[in-house]
Parts: sequence; C-alpha cells; structure tokens
Amino acid sequence: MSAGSLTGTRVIRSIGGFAAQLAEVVGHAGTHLGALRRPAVRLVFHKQVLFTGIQALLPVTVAGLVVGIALMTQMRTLLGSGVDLNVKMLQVVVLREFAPLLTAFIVLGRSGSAMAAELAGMKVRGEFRTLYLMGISPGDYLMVPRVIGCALAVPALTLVFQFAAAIVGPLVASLFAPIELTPFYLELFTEIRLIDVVLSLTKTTLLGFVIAGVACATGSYVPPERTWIPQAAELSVLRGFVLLLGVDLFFAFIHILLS
Amino acid sequence: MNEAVLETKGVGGRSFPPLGFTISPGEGLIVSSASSEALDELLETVFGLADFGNGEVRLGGRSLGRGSERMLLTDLEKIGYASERGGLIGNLKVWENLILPREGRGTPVSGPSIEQIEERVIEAFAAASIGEARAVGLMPRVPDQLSPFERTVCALVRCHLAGFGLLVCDRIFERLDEGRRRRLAALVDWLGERHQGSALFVLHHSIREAEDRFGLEAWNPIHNITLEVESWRAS
Repeated sequence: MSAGSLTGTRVIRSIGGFAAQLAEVVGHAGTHLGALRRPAVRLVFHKQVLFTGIQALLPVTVAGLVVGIALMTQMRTLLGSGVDLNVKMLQVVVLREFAPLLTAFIVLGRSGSAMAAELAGMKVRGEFRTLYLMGISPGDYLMVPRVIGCALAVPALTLVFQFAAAIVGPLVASLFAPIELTPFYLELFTEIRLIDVVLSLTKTTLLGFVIAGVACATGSYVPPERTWIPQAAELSVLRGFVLLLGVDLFFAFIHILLS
Repeated sequence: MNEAVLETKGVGGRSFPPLGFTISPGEGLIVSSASSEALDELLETVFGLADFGNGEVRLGGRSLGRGSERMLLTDLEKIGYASERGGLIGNLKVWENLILPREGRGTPVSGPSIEQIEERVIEAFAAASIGEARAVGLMPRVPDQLSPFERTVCALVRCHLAGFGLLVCDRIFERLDEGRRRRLAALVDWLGERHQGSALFVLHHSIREAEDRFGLEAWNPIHNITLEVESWRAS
C-alpha cells in the first residue's frame, strides 16, 4: 500500500471515529433529558446557559448591530432606495445566513473552546473516573447540560442578532443615510414567512447541538495528558467551524428546494 | 454468614497479573505496587470501568459490569472514593463537591436535611483535627485553592455524607508529612467506626509503608497484597 493511500485510510478512520463520538455525545444528550431533573445537573445547566447565552449577549448584539448598519448603508449605495430589493437582501443575507452563522461562530469561539478545554482538563485530573466511582454518569452530569444549554442558547442569541441587525441596524443607519423606515419595516414583516422562522429555529438549534457536541466529544475523548488541554480547544474550534459550514450548506440546499 | 463486600476472581489487566481477593465487612485490604499504571488499571478494572476479561467482580454480592451503565452506576453508589488528588471536581466549590453524590446521582434525593448535613460536615472535619472556623472557611473555595491534605479530607467527608459499603482510598497516604498522615488515618478510622459493616480498600505506591497499615485500627484484619509487576512482566 502506498504512503498516500495509508494516510488517506488513516484520515478516513479518524473522521469516522470522531463522527461516532459526536453521535454518541449528541445521542446521549438527546435521550437523557431526564437527568436535568437532578439538582446537580440543573446547576451545571444554569451555569452553561449563563456562560453561553447571557454572557454572550453583548458581543452578539454588537455584531448584529454592526452587520445591520454596514449592510443597510452598503445596500443603499448598491441597490438604490428601492425597498423591495433592500428587504430581500436583508432577509437572505442577514436573517437567513449571517445571523445564524455569525452567532454560531461567536458561541463556538467563546463556549466551544472553553467547554473542550474544561472537559479535557477534567479528564487529565481523573474527574471522569471520580464521577463514575461516585455512581454519577459523566454523560448525564457533563454532556447533557452542556449540549442542551448550548442548543437553547444559540437560537435565542440568533434572535437577538437578527433583531439587532434587521430592526435596530436600519434605525441607526437612518441617522446618517436617507432611509425610509416605515415602508422598509412594513415590507420586512410582510416578507418573513412562517417557514423561514421554523427553518431558522431548526437550523440554529442544530448549530447549537453541533457546537456543544463537537466540544464535548473532543474534550472528553482526548488522551489524558496536559498537553492535550489547549489542543482540545483548538481542535474543537476547527472541527466545529467545518461542521457549522456543512450545516449551513445543508440548509441552503433546503431553501433552494423549498423555493 | 456475612456476604463479602468486594470479591474478585481472575481479574487481570495489561499491567498486572490476574488477581483474586475477598474483603469481608469490617475488613481492609491494602494493594501496593511500585507501578502507578498497574494501580490505575487495577482500580478501573475492579470497578468495571475497564474490561476485566474472563474474571469476575462481585460488589456487595452483585456481579459487577455485566449489565447496563445504569446498573453499574447503581452498584458503584456503594463506594466511597477518595484519591491522591482529592477526587474532587475542579470547577465546583468544596460545599458543592460535598453534596454532589446526594444531588447528582440517578436515585432520588433522600436522607438528612441540609442543616443535618452541615453538622455532619463539621463533625467529620473535627475528626481530622480541622476546626469549625477553618472547615466553614473551606466551603466557598474551589479544590485548587486547597492543600492536597485538605482536598483528601474533603473527599473523605464527602464519602461520609454519601454513605458507603466500601471505602476506596486511592493513594491518599502519599506525599504527606507524618503529622498529616496521622490525622488522615484518624479520619479514616473515624469513618470506619461510623460506618459499621463497611470495608476498606487502599491502593498505595510504597510497599514498605503499606506494611505498617498506616496505624489504622477500625478495620480488622487489614490484609496486604503486593502487585509484583516487574517479575510478572519478565515471566
């Protein structure tokens, strides 16, 4: 066998192995929701929602606002003052693509890397074993609250991003560019369909699952060595980035099919 | 006749020879080895976290590790575990660590109230010659802010609060000065008196120190097993 095909086999095996770990983590979280009834698991869940959701409000709002203002002024230059095209662009570019993806990237950079490093550190310190020996499932205690917390936080943050970009952004942009706000908002709310909302919620929830799933799988399956703690964070961001783009592409195809 | 608390037959691993032993209620066992790897693997193998091949492990009369993860975890609730590094969860405060088994296990929460637990905590810390003020001061800290001795005491107090049939002390008597080692042994003895009918399972690095049995008296007799890893590998 040539060196090239050996490397290829190794890469495929490694991707396959990671996919199995990811499926195990997300599957466990999805099928053990009852663990959230336990006070200790609930505490981890609350901490996760605080860190991933509430503490990310400021960066997400600022990002949404900047994107909204920049896009509104740029569109005005490119597309003129026609409300139809401006709204269509905002709907497709910001609400459908930028908002979920940029929010997911922010969460991936903040929480995904932190989760992976935290879990890798716990593994190095033998805390997975300690949990087992106390009769506590590490899957229930560590994975469920993180995955569910993240899967709830990402859609909520995306809504905040969308609000900042599509509602507040044009308002601020109108201060230094001639934008007629009333017809713009009327057209925007007319254009948003129920299917857009459903797809957006589904997509962002899935992105949340992917971020937390990748972080948990990467952090808990690395070798128990100190040098792997920063590597777990880095690896989790890299893997998450690729998978988030994959999910985005998948939903882009669904939109094409639906339209 | 009392059923054995822990019984193993033909349990072997990659780094230690097949092993069989029985610990009855009130008794203790110290397993010592110069190899950390062998002790780590023994611990994980005996308690079903690693495959033990054709051997058999019975904990509290029940065969371990042959059923679902849920069943294994329910069986492991009979264990109290303290380790060299304390066996605490690093991102939880000491108080959260102490009540973790009560609030994190799959079985419903029952037993004493929080006030009663606080009293028990103070009482247990006193057994390790740690006063009430100091014990209360430790509660809001995270494990990294504690000394190794304090971490181990906290883990043993956690075992006391959760209750146990088998107390597993994973290299806790290592890297301590004589005074602290005596205080730790006093706490382990105190636990033995409070949890009548339980058994003790100690893993230790130094074979010579293990022969002294750390001055423990509450469990009697305390047996000794030495894992001769080097000669086993050579053969």
